Amino acid sequence: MGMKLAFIGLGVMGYPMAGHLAAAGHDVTVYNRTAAKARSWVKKYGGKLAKTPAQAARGAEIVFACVGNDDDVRSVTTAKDGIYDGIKKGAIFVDHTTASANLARELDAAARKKGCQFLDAPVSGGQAGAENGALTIMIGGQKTAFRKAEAIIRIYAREAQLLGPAGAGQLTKMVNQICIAGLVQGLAEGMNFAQRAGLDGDQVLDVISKGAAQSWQMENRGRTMLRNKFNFGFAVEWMRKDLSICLEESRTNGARLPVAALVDQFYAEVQAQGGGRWDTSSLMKLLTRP
Amino acid sequence: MTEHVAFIGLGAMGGPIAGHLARAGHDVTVYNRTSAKADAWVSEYGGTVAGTLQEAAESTKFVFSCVGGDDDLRSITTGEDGVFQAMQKGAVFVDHTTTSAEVARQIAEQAQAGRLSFLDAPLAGGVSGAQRGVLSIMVGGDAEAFGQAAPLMETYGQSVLHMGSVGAGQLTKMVNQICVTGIIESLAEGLSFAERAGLDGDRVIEAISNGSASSWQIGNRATAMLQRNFSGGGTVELLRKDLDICLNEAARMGGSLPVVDLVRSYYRQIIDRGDGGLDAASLISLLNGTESPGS
Repeated sequence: MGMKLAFIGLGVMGYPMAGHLAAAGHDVTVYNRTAAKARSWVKKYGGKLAKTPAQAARGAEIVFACVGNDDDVRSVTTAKDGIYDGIKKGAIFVDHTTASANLARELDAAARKKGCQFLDAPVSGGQAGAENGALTIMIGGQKTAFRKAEAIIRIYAREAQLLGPAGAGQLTKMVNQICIAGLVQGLAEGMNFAQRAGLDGDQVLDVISKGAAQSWQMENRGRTMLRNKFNFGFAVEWMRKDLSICLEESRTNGARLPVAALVDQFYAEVQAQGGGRWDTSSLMKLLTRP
Repeated sequence: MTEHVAFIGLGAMGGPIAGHLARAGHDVTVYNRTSAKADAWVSEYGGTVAGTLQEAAESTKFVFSCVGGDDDLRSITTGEDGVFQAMQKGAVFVDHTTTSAEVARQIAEQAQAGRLSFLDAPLAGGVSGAQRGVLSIMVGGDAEAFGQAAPLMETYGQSVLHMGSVGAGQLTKMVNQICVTGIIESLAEGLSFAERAGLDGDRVIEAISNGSASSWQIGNRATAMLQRNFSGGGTVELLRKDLDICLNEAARMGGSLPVVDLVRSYYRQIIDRGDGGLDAASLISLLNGTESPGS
């Protein structure tokens, strides 16, 4: 018999993640703001449908959430009929939303008051990673909670690491996004330069992706950038949300992020051009104008 | 087939590259501005030391060079004592220096006037790549000359690719440098942020180095950056030279390189501080308040 679990938020990430839990034989109760999605999920995977996050959380050993941003997380946790209204003593709440470290600390304190435990556990690996159960998960919280939840989290993760106390998962995800920001801009500048120089971009990628310039972004986005294809992938508006969390946190911890801040402004320009849903590689668009 | 070749410039890259040619059985004549280096090279690999540039080049089918920059290349080829006057008709000059595309085009034109071929063939892979003979070589120039020279370059190149007409090798190398620049600055910002946030840097690297932020740089340079070990890669001074070349070329073509331009100003700060001999990982030192790795 599987474990009793709850999953709140069945978006492009949450839907397949919750699906992996059900497919592994666990007893999953789901909640989604738009109920139609939750009904479709139950039809596909079995499990139960709850009317509120509190109802979903009732009796569950582990409660998962994967929603939009800080405000969305608050509305399904500490707000009325939120997870914290229903969660039982000794249970663990795992938040997969990419959110601020302050929110993680806040939810950790609230969990302690309820006699439960909290893990902030943002993910990377995108929709494909969620569907294939191959996500990378960066976790903050108490070791005892991590040990209890780890085996379940690994059902959809290729990597799941505890990085420190509550907030450490979010902070690590921020490092990930900071590293991507200037990397993608550099890639865009390079690809645009290659095109203007009249080089065969595909051949250039073949040569330079073997050495010091190699990156996941180069291998997975270089060719689509050369073809001006941006209608897929990780949306600019989501990246801006993540960068705003990074920049906000940097004001508190004193880190300086000059290129991340610059790239955030470039993304604002992409949004202004109507590209809020385009992939982050659409920075290229700003350089290809005559 | 054994070839008689000349090699000009036995620096950190040129020395081991010429060594691979000698070890492959070719008859190598070397020239270096500081002759002691040429003597040391010959005592290690055999071959012949030439007293002058022209003496090195006068009887060989291939002349290779790996020198400092545009001006050095001009001086050894078309300068007063340059090799173009001495080279045999039909010989091929292969330049491994990282230069502007413009100088490559100019020199190629003069080569053609003297019935010589010129290939611009900048390298990627660093000193360790040169030593191990696994460089990436991006070549521009005449296809026939490339076909003749490629087997020789393969003695020290893992990938030797013809990228197009003259200058295309240099332009490809520029794309490489542009892409690297964004990666390193972002890595410096990310790791500096991790430290300020009180995270364990090594574990952060482990957690993020398999996904969308992964790169050769994070796999090979991030740990040194955390340890403030700034001696493993090419120097800031050389990198700034490379970025100057990229920015000049972009200005000529009408493109814009905002992040490259910004990072070049950071390299400038490091050089002005007297730390131009450190590698690019030292970008992190600009993000950490008053910390100066040179002190």
